[in-house]
Amino acid sequence: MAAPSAIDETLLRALEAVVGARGIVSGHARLSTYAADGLPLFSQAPDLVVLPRDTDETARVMALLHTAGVPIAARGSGTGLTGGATPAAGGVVVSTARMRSILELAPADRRARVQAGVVNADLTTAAAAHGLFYAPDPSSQQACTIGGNVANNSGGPHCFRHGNTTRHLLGVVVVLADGEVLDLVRDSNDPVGLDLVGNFCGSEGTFGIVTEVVVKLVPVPERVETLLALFTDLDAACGAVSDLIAQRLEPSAIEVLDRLTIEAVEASVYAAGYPVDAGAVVLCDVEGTDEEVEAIATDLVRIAERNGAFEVRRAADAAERKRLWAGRKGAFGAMGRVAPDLYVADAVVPRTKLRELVRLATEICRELDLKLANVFHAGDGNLHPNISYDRRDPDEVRRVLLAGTRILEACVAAGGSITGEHGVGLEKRDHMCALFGEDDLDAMRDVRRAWDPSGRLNPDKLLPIRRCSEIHADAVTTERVVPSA
Amino acid sequence: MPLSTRIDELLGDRVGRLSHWGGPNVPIASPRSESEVLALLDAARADGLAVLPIGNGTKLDHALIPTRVDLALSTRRLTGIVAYEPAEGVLTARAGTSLRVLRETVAAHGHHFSPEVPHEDRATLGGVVSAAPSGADRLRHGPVRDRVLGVRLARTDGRVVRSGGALVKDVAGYDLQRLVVGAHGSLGVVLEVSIRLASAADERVLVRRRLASVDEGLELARALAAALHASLRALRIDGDPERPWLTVDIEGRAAVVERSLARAHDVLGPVHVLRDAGAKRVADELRESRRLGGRWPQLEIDALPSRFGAALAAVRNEVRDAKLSVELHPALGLGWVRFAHTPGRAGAHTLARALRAAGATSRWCGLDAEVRRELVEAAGPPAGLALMERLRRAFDPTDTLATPRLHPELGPS
Ligand SMILES: Cc1cc2nc3c(=O)[nH]c(=O)nc-3n(C[C@H](O)[C@H](O)[C@H](O)COP(=O)(O)OP(=O)(O)OC[C@H]3O[C@@H](n4cnc5c(N)ncnc54)[C@H](O)[C@@H]3O)c2cc1C
Ligand SMILES: Cc1cc2nc3c(=O)[nH]c(=O)nc-3n(C[C@H](O)[C@H](O)[C@H](O)COP(=O)(O)OP(=O)(O)OC[C@H]3O[C@@H](n4cnc5c(N)ncnc54)[C@H](O)[C@@H]3O)c2cc1C
Repeated sequence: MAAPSAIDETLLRALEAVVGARGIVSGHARLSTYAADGLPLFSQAPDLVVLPRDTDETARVMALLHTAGVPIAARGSGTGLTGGATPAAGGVVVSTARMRSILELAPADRRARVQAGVVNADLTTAAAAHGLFYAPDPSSQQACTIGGNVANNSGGPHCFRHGNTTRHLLGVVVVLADGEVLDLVRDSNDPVGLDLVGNFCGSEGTFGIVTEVVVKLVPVPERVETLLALFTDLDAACGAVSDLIAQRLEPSAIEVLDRLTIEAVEASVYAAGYPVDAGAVVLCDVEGTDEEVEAIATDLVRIAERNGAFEVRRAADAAERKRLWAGRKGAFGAMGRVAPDLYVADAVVPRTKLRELVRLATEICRELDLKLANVFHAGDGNLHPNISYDRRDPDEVRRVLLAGTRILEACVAAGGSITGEHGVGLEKRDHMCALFGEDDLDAMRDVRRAWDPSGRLNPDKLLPIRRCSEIHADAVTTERVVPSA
Repeated sequence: MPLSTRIDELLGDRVGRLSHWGGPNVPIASPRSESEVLALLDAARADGLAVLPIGNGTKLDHALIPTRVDLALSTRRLTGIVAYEPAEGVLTARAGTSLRVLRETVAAHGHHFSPEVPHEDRATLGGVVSAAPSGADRLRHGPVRDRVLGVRLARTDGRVVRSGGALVKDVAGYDLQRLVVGAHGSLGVVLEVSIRLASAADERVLVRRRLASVDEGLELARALAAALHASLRALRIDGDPERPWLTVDIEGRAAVVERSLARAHDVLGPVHVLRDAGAKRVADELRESRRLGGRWPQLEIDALPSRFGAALAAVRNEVRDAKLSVELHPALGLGWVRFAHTPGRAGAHTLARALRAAGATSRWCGLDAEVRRELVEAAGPPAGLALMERLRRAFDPTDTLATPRLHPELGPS
């Protein structure tokens, strides 16, 4: 449903006057790069891509697009997995790819101020000189941007202890749809008035374009240990994780990888030395002082063993730790060996129900004859059932989406959620009806309108565009699983 | 004088009065169920009355005293824990549940309920979430807004909305709960809250030392914050600023606490160490000492840690002779200064200006309502004020809630 191109020659020239010729991407071939994010099932090329270099340029660009009434999709690195950066309604993509400066590191206050296009891992690298790091660590951290992380309230393995992006966010500079700049950076602990920063986090490009971000940095722990507990099957590994949570143990990360994932990783460039004879492994980091690490590690081994771990290994040195984590973070990439495409589902379940929901996901995929691998943030109850498929096979695509829907429904029925970190975007827009009632969604619509009265920022994303009753009726009659964009 | 026939009918003889809170003496309705809350809101809307949601009314003057208020609606009778699965680490309870009940319930299963506030018998969950006070445990357990996973809120048009949920990780939809935390009842009536619990620590010790000055305390605090990062629960300087006390509150596993204690000795030299019951007694006293803020005019200072010293110097410069008592949390950049005498209008303005120049934000309670409004106005409009008003109107288009609460311009003009 792309709008007819609203970019005439005058507008194009005006935009170019703001960002320079190198700040404009046009032409069919170059624009197609921006047609999708990490979810290739949805694609729509934009009419134009604009790359401002700072807040001021972004504000001028947004004011011009406002006058022209053009829809806008913000884009960081396009690693999102729900079609969030896909310009579903056509129009202009505003990319932060030229906003890559770390503006300030303030070690005394443990804060950093960065432009939105700074890559997540680059911030941690820069902070290391001061004995600090940026805690949220999506597995995509070598590529994804801080602005994208803020927009999606992204997580990562170590968010088990440290929390998602929102807990680390101290301020944002936002450009609203009409070009107004809101400098929501505060030099205080608490906001003056309503917590707009907290409300912005996770708004998926529908409230405004974030151009600068102030985040909390965390001291590098004195010691970090990595443990790998080996299980004969996935069921037991999940049970062990539920027990770790029930015992209130606090390692900094608790990840689970199943056999198919292990095999794929070990056959790839990310080979980490995971045992290919294990049915599943639980990968944990433990951090703190020497005493703290020893105490937690001892408990961890005990709990893993009583839940059936046949071996618990400790990484011998930093090099081995790094390898074990590179394997985990490369797991999605490694799955490329199994099939041409990978559907990364993202759902949450209560942590007491890990075992039954993972089992259910396995059954659903078996029934639909799909290949499922599991690698996920188990400590937070955040499942990632990964389904391998070939997008050229329409029936397989249909079954993949059906499996995705069924898994989400099962998670919601068990008291879980439709997304733990990847967001709603285009993909899960209609699934919001499974989780929220119409009154809840109306409140969200009201809040969205307050931020963006024009409705041009990432239109058609995050909130259902039809009433839930219609969507439910449709789903029953046609088993339709792709949102009707 | 009858308020409204419908409200009188709804309440019968169950009406108290809200008095001595800085605002007008108004009736308090304390509904026993959600449907009564909704019926009251409906009646108030129909009759054009302004409603102030409250808990037990203990902390109403931490926000502006509203100029439009006809009725207080207390959620103190909506009590009870809705869900608590210890193995999950999350609790959901109704707004009127007292913090004591919550703390004791979760303590029995090895959890700690944060924030830790004074007067926990009176403090209700809804009040604490709406006022978002800094708990005594904030350094370790973070601000209230980071612990609230979800809320259920009654909008003034009678719709009940849910945001977030009872999961430790969940990014579905907008975080409306972030707006509700600290909104002082300006968006709706909080009915239910889900909170992420912390693990209770195995051990806790307090280290106390008399200081020669606040400055000495600030310097020691810097060294302690660096050396003890992982196990610090609180680090505070309090009492008479001429001869204050430094308190280091340490918790964690036994071995970690012992090691931290050794490090604290390295920084501080010989100190007084309190353990077990002794530690708990002093910690409780320190927490409750905040209540004094209810009686004395109290200034809250909020700054970056690196600017905190300068902010305190500005206060000392402006109020040389006044008798003060302080509670300072230098590692956070937060502090409270209590005045034995009201500083007066001009004095309050001068102080606020000096603090702004030092890069700090300040807030008063226990000060004349009119002066407070002036002070907030003098600070200039906060960023996003127009957006805040759009949000407020989105939640309460009929202006049924008492205003202003957060800023003089947030409300019908
Ligand atoms: C291999 C792989 C592993 C991953 N692992 C994780 C993980 O562990 N945890 C996790 O949470 N996610 C993970 N993701 C998902 C993804 O990396 C994150 O959502 C990330 O935060 C997206 O950042 P980005 O810069 O690529 O944003 P994009 O994909 O470009 O955009 C994401 C969303 O943010 C909006 N947006 C981007 N920039 C801005 C801005 N400046 N202002 C306003 N809105 C903006 C977009 O409109 C879109 O809605 C993974 C993805 C891949 C491909
Ligand atoms: C005298 C005294 C002084 C205190 N001083 C401090 C202090 O300095 N620092 C500190 O940390 N703690 C302090 N406390 C303790 C504690 O923090 C408060 O008691 C608590 O925050 C408020 O509890 P409450 O239920 O009485 O809320 P109230 O005081 O009734 O309400 C607090 C705020 O929340 C709003 N509100 C209440 N309930 C709802 C609801 N259901 N929906 C929407 N909005 C609602 C109110 O409008 C108000 O703005 C003090 C307590 C007392 C008794």
